[in-house]
Order: sequence, then C-alpha cells, then structure tokens
Amino acid sequence: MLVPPNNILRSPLASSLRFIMSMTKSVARGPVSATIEAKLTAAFSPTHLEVRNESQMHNVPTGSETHFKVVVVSEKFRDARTPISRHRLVNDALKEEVAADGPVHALSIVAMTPEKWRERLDKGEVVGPSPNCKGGDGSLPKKNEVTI
Amino acid sequence: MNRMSPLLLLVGLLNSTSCTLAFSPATSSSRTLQRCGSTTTTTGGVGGGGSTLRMSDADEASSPTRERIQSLVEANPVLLFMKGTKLFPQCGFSNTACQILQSYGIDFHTVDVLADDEIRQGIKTFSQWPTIPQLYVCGEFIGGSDIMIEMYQSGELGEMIEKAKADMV
Repeated sequence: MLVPPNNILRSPLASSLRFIMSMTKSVARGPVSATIEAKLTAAFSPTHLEVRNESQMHNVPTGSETHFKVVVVSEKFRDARTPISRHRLVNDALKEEVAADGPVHALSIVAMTPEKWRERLDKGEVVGPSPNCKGGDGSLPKKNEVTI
Repeated sequence: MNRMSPLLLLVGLLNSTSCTLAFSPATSSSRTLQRCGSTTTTTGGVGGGGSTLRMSDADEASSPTRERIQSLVEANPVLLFMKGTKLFPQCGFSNTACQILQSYGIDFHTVDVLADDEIRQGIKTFSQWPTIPQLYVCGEFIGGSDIMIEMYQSGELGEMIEKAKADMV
C-alpha cells in the first residue's frame, strides 16, 4: 500500500542532505563552531546553514577549530548582487572570529539566495571540501607538536 | 555538474604540472596602469566595497605600508597577494588562486605575504578583507579564492583578465 518515495530519496536535495549530514556527523562541534553558527543565524536568519570545521584537513592538533567553511543561504543576500558584497556581509558578521587575533585562521564562504541554492541543488552540485593544505604558514601549532 | 567540471579538470591538470611550468616569473613590477585606470571606473560596481581603495581615503594615507601596497596595486594589472610563491604556494587557497590565474595564460605578479609581515597585516586593512589570497585586477580588489572560483565559473573573471591583458601589452 505504502510505496517508498524513491523519487524523493533519489532527488538531488536528498542526496545533498545525506552528504551534509555525513559531513557534520564526522566532526565534533566546539565552542568556535557554536559561536559562528549563532552569529550567522542571528545575522542572516538562513534558510540553510552549514558550519564545517575543516581543521582536520590541516596540520593542526586534533580537535582544533582553526579552518572553517560556511554555507549560508539567506534572503538577506538578495540585495548583495556581487559575490564580494555577499562575502563582505559574512566576513562582517564574523569579524571577531576572523580578526588577526581571533580563533579562525581560514574561512571559506559560500553565500547565496535560496533561489540560487535551489538551482545548485537541482543541478546536483554540492559544496565540496576546501583545497588540500600546502603546508601552512607556520603560525599555528602542529598536529604532533609537544608544548612544554 | 557541467559548470563545475571545467574547473575540476583545470585543477587536476594543473596539479599534475605544478604551478610554474607554463609561466615565467612575473616581471611586471615596472609597468604602470594606463588604460586600466578608466577600466576601474567603469567596473567599479563589481567591487561592492571598493570605497576602501580610494586614494583619498585619509585613514592611513600616510602609512608607508599602505603606500607600498598602493603602488604595487597600481603597477601590476593582475596582482595576487598570496601565501608562498607561484612555485611553492604555502596554502591550498593560494594554490587555487594561482592555478585559476595561470589558466588564463597571463604574466601575473604575486606578492608573498609570508615574506613580509607588514604587507601581510597591511593588505587586510587596505582591502578591508581578513584572509589571503587577495586578487587585484586593474587596481580593483576582486576578492579571495572562493570569489575567484565563482567568477571563473561565471566567466566574469575571464572578461576582467582580458581587459587587463590589453593593458599589459
């Protein structure tokens, strides 16, 4: 009687959601992630928000919160027509975090309106991880560095 | 997918050949912007926050670092502030930025912020932008690597580079 809604399960939206969930599950959330999420939620009332801690891709101690990618989908970007103006809005919302003396060393941003996000999902596009580390600039503690 | 694949192809291709094989080191530091000046005014809207780049910005007009950055931006039609060099990028985002610019076959100039702490901090204030890399085309701040990817895919960056190329001759 009840037919499994295969068409829904196989839709780009469902596969994107599965991908997103698999990403968020794998990384423990720390205080910096929580602050970023709270600030972006307050600033943009996003219809979709991802705060990905990508620090484990870099040579920093386990559990670090230094490298992030955020995906922010919000109506608030409707008037910000250029990529740079959208990115500036996100950078402004997180200015304490990304400041030179703040906790975040790298921030990758994907910011768009719900329509653009929908178009992207319909095309089956996903937001992939950031590029691989190339060694870093030596300003952060290393994964296996012992501090005395 | 179809819009993403050319970039993936590009990144894969360039990863295997490294950043530098096809391009000689930039030697454009002595060049001055000529027609680029007018280009900047016509495309000024793209910057969205370009007001921070005005020469008349009094805030730190007297800072020597600011003046150094200003003259670099004016002297190089396509200028990338990055971590590391074209040969040895020290950061994945800077590497992506390099690869995108190299795909256009242009002789762009890079500044290694890791080699100069004043520039490293100064460029963040100058552009009002917290992260590296940072791209300038014809004196205009374009953005970081996420924006470069977005504008590469939309073709917008290619158009800007074409204009800058004309100014390099």
